[in-house]
Amino acid sequence: MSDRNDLLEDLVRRSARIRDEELITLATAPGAKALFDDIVSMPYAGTDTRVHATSEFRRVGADRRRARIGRRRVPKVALAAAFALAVVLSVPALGVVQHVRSWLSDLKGPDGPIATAPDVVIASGVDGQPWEIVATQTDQGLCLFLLTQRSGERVGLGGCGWASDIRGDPSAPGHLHWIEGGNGSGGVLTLNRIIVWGVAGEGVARVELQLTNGGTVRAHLVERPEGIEAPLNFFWAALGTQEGAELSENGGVREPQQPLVHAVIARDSAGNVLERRVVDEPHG
Amino acid sequence: MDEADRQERFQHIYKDHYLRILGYALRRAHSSDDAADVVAETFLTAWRRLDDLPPDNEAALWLYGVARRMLANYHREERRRSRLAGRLRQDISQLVEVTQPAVSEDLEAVVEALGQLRDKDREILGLVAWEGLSHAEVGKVLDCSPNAAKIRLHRARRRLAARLAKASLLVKPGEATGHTGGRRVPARPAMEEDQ
Repeated sequence: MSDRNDLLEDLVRRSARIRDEELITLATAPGAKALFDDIVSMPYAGTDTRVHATSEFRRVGADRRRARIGRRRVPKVALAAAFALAVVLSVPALGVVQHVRSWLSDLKGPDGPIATAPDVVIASGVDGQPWEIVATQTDQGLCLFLLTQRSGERVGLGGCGWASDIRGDPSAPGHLHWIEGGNGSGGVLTLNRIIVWGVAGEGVARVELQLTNGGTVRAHLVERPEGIEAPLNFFWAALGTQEGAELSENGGVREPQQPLVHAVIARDSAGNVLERRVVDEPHG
Repeated sequence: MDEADRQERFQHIYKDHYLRILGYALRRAHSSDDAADVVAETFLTAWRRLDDLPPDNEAALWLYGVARRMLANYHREERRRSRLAGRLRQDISQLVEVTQPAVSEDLEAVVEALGQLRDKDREILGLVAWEGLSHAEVGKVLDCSPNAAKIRLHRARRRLAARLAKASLLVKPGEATGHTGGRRVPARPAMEEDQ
């Protein structure tokens, strides 16, 4: 290192607001222990985290909420898109009485889904921003959204009408599939990983994601979360750079040009493949 | 990893890196409250993604990376306070009241010059000078190669030197030790900045 670099580094070092050695007393202060105890009392990946996630995530008194409906290839996608437009336009809902508290009830629009049961947080995490995967039973079927924030606004990516063709759902007419989803993770720019999510039939004990880069990732499986009437499981995974996600210069994840997940494999508890569903091509 | 192993591993990570991450956040956050939140959320992320955490010192680099992204977001928008960090906020505010040092005029100029740099430049300079990381370690935090980190650092130093020159703060070989800061001399032309 040159003398000039030494000098610059020395100046920067001494300009530090605070030095680590000045913090030593904090290592044994009550805050350190309290934080540790609070964290280890929390659930971790794959568990139902509704207790803390909802309280931390919501911004009380926030201005208009806006949902952005992403690339969700489910039958109700057109309806979801119409819903998003209605939300953006902020058309007041007329004659609608909301009896069930849900994040959806913050959205304004005549075509918006009306929650018929409280939100259920399937998973949550912090990947640059706090995020949650929230399932809500509505008059338009099961809505499943990835929620996070961008520029202080709540942003949702997802849709409604899930699980209409999933085994285990008594309302499913055809009992066609064991799994649904896994393709439309989308990139919510404030996150630094791609979140993938979907629904699985009750008999699914393990979900694997075959990636377009050749790798395979085991998804987290949330079995029969409390609050979801239908006997459904949910899966999710967070994909980072190792799985092919690209980060932007500011550390957020880029919207993938191509899907990261090629196929979703559902297995039963014995490891038998129940279904392998290619998801990087439109279907359904 | 069973629950006991998980807790034990997290305890080691927390114990080994708590002060480093706290220092990292305090040196960069706009407020000590933000710093407390960043520390809390960084370790919460570590707890939730414990299986992803690399071993030993690599864990510190992983944590720096998480804290860096958290801070970037804190700088961009108003956030609700994490309820996890309540007690920590109190500890920090008491400490900062006690230890807030008087900064010399010359160092104020350095702080000002750093503040005029782009975030990326300031971050890489801090990772080396404040966190004491090598080029390879900086590369891991910033998700780039050691060589790219070296080049970025070189450019950041050039831009800082240019700012200091504009501020009439001499950056001259051989004057780095034994005094509280650079010596003020008449201004010289600023160095050309990399774009």
